[in-house]
Amino acid sequence: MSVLDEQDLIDRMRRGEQKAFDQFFDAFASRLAAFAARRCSLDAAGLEDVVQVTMINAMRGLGSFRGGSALFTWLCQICRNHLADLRRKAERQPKVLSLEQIEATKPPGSVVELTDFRDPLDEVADDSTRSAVRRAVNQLPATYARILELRFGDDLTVPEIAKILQLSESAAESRLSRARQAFREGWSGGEESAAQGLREIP
Amino acid sequence: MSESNNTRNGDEGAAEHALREGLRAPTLSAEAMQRIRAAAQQEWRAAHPPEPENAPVRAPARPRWLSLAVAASVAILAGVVGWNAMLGDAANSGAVVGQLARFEAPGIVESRFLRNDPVLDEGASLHAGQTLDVRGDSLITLAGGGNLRVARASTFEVVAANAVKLDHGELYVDIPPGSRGSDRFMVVTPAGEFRHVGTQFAVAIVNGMTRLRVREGSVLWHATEGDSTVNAGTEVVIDRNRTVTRRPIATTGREWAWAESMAPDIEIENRPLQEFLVWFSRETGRKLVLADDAARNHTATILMHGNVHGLTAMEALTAVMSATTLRFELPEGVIRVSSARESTSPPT
Repeated sequence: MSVLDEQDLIDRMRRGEQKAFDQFFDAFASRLAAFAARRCSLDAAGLEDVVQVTMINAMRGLGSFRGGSALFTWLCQICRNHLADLRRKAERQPKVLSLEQIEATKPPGSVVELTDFRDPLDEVADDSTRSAVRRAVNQLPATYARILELRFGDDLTVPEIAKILQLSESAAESRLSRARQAFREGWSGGEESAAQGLREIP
Repeated sequence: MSESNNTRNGDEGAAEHALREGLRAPTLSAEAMQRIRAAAQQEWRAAHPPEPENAPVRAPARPRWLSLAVAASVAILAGVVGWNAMLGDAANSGAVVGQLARFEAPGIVESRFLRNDPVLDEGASLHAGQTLDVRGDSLITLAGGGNLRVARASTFEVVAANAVKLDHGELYVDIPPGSRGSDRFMVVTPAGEFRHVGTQFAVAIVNGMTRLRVREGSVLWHATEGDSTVNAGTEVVIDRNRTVTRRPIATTGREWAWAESMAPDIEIENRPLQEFLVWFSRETGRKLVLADDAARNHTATILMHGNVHGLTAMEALTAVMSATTLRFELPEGVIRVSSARESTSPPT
């Protein structure tokens, strides 16, 4: 969706056009859920809350959206702010043993620090491979992390990525290739470290 | 192809596989997305009501008769508003189904035709005749005993002191055995009426489908096709064509999490531990097992002090049990309490 299309969509939503709301929700809700899921290790109910609050806040702020950024970028910023709020609240909570700890099935829900411009992926995943991959991606330059997330997380094609990042297709292809290479280097290093760590266990 | 090329291609494949696995995000269920859509739409619609179609860009010259028509319209509108206010007051004097005990922001809004939709305060009574938009999970204490928990993005109507009509969304009925005598609480849906028989159950309407999940006791389902009883651990789904699907379900787990989070607070001060454990087992759909004589004796005689307000059932359990010498385990569907001396691990 181009910037002009998005502005038109927002205008129609402001006029209360039902079809515009449906288009908006269908275009962005799932992507937003995936964006949020990669940045927190909340369970399904917690994730649903995050996406819902983001959407509600977006609807409340629709009148103030000036089109200075892409619509999805704006949604992501609202989501980031909410996740940061959650994290601050969680830090203020007294430490209480949770159901997850008792059942020892997975670590309790947590939210990563998102005030950093790097906007890292959550590394508190329930299996070590996912956690290690996210750690490796977080070590990359932000532009590389973003393009890998679009390609492998959102499963977008190069033309789609090029449109989102406002690059030519060849520039997107080239950046993706460099990002893959950078990840491979970091990832194989990480795998070796992990293997060494395992060998050290008596 | 050289060995190094093979190795590189293998690395590339492994790295790409790892990237897909590592960056893949868990997806939300269709029901969850539907709930999000409903909540977002409600918020959007409240802020951006539809503009009238073919609204004139510039007002045309106004003929004299139009002023008279406008005056007449204003008079009619005033009459309608007055009538509606009267109806509203009448509704608020209808039978009380219960009181709003707790809610998550932004709470419950009463839908009123041609009037401002007020947000209900904690402690507000809910009367027959009211239609309520639930925008945050809410807990209602039922006047006749038990409680009603309503999920956000639900709309329901109070039809009588012992009945509500669910338009869409999900609600959870918790009627402890013996708490209402013969006065059966009822949920009305397009698929029929669901009456409690001393029970906990959830009714949802999603995409035109009605779903009943019974967690404890049983529910009498009264439909045009006839009556039937649905027992604990059963889910019944009735689709738009009234095709019925039944299946067994777990009485614990994620599906019940929102209802558990809206459980009423329990007073524990000077109450026996066993009372708390029974409350916990009901709230979490688990069977309480006291594993040995010492555990049975202790839970009956230990009196608790303090309070667990604001804690989830699981947090409350942890807080309470940490003050005792008893231990607990949570295998599937069970809370097992035993004395500390009893050990389940094999001797070393």
